[in-house]
Amino acid sequence: MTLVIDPGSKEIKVWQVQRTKCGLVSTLTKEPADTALDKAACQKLVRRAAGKKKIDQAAFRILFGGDLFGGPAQVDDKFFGKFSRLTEFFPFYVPQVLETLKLFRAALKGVPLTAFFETSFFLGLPDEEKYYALPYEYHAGTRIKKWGFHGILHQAHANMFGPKEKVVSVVFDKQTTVSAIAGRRPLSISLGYTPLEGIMSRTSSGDLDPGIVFYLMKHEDLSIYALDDLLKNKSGFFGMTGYDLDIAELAKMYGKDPKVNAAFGVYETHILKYIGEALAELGGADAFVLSGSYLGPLMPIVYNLIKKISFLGIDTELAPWQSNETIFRITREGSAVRVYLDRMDTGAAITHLMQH
Amino acid sequence: MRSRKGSGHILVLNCGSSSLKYKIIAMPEEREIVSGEAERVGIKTQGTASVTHTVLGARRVIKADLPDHTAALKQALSMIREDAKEHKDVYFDAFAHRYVHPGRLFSKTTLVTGPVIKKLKETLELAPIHNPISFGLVEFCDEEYKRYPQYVIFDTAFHKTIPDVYASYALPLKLAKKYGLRKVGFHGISHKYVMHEAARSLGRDYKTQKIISCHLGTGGSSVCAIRDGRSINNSMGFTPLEGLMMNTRSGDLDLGVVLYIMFKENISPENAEEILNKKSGVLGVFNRSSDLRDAIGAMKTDAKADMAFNMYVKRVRSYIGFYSLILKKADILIFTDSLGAGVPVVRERICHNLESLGIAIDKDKNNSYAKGTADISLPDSGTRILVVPTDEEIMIAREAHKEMT
Repeated sequence: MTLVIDPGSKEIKVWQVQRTKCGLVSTLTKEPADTALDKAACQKLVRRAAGKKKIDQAAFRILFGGDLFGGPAQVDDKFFGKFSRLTEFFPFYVPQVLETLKLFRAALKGVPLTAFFETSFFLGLPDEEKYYALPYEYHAGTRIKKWGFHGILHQAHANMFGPKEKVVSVVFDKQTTVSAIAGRRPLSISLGYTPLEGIMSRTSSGDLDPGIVFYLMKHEDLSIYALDDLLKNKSGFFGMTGYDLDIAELAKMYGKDPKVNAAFGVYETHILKYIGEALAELGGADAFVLSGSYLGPLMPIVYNLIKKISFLGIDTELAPWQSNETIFRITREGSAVRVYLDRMDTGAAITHLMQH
Repeated sequence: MRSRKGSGHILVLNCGSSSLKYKIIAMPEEREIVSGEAERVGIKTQGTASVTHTVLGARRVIKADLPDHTAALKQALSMIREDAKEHKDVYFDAFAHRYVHPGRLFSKTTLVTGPVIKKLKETLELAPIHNPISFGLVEFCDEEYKRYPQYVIFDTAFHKTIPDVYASYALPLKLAKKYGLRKVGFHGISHKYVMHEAARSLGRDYKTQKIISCHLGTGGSSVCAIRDGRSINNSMGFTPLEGLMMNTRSGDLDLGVVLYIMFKENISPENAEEILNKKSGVLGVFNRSSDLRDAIGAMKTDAKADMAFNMYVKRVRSYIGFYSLILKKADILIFTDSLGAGVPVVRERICHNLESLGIAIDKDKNNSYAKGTADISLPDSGTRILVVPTDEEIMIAREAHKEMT
């Protein structure tokens, strides 16, 4: 059995993952991150998550690996020194993760530990995708480039296909991301240097004319901090609708409320923009894989999206699309482009990567 | 003024960020009397600034120091004055200016008056590269050519039909309404002209066509999605900074990067805006010139030149992919302006491997393209790929003439 631990800033998630005939099945246990954590508390959490099952291996999900972690890393003495060098990027997150990992390492003595990073997969992006069209000095000597996100799921999807297949992978999560994958390597990713780039989320704007940034700073007399707050926390679905609701709740209002409809319309446009980019990068797609924790709640929007791009050669089974399998195909035999729904969570995705 | 009622010689002025195109067009017959273009105006490039000037078919090129667009216009007017001594047809009755971004202040072609100049002055920051340039020429003509009527023709009018679902930003609704923050779109005069010309050359009704129009200039570049004669999307946004990478503009960018740089470097919004508008794009990446043609010339030996070209091409392809989705494949893909119509390798690399979207280029036809409107697609390409030299000046003259008569 594999244990996967996500030392998040708000809560610690622990998945117990097992292989069954329907694929990898995971069970999630959560603990608020503000709980005073020590070795005993970690041991207790591990036991709650694992029950009496033997833990064969454990892994950590880490949001950012910078240039230092182009793949999974063994969590040993050397790891901590290396990881701490990323503190300048995330001065709050990195020390907290370091502390949590040390405690779990002590609690899981004897169990092989591996760290997985959400950005590793995208270190392999082509340069023309990775860099921004900024003055040269902002590239030389700085690390302003696309780091991407959801690399664990996108890479798990990449591994599902042959080396010559072209895949568009979409993750519907708190952030929605789209990646083009060819030869199991990424060619594009919607999320950039920061999570602000790409597709709008519950409270963040996603892509926007950079000219608007300067316009608003001047006309609303906004500081950098106020603008950052506006774009990250007051925009997106919340800004457009005025409803301070989770996306799953908003999805229930889809088709009933004009503001919600308008917001989902823009959300769909953002996704189409990146699917279009992916198709241009790949020169067409053999398959789409749609996944993420919001895949279920967003199914009416997902259905709409698939309908809009079905002219590409997508011939789906009649909805609703259901299966006992974790990953299943929703296109008919003979569909020129295959579409898969993947209900694998991060815990299962990391376990999948450990086995490949 | 010398023209009889109902007709007129219009001096059209069309400023790019580093160019000034001008034409005297006799209306309504649309006869070109004088045409010219000042290139590499007021910007760091590898070549010398020059004016190519053609009067009644006779062409001459003059190298000149052109530190700004007013200097370029003065040079053109001086050449026109010389020509007027020898040719009785060389004269003009009115000025017609292309004006990029009127914001919400103007929505149609307008005769310039004192109050109009005051209102135009309020729009400068909306397009910090173009509006100040055009405004400067409007002011110059108003001061130096008082008895000549001047008209401003706006580049945004064609994009009024972009639907909300493509024009809206995911910003707080109140703020978006307060400032009219939505995609405005630009290069509308050019996209509209090439739409008409492409459909005409294929013998099709433009009102039935799905078109992706790529206006790729050595200054600005944009892609437009057109359905049934109406613009439904444009890569430029509320300002011309959004969208493709351009000569000195960054185009699309992580806003987090913008904020990070302002914070880290402690620079004002004005300075950051200048960096993104005037020091980024091809110039920022290539570092030696803002002209993509210079980068193309150097890319075999210069990694930065190669990078600038690849980045430029990639971003055009991304928008073609996006617009192919919203149009459900295009009937026509148009390339126009100095890079789009002038550089075969740009078209070839942009169209490379897009057969799945219906786009298949004939490399031989593409490489042998010389002039005029031409179909460069393979016979079985679902999308007809056309090179169409744009003629914004004709469109501008038509608009001004409508107002004059």
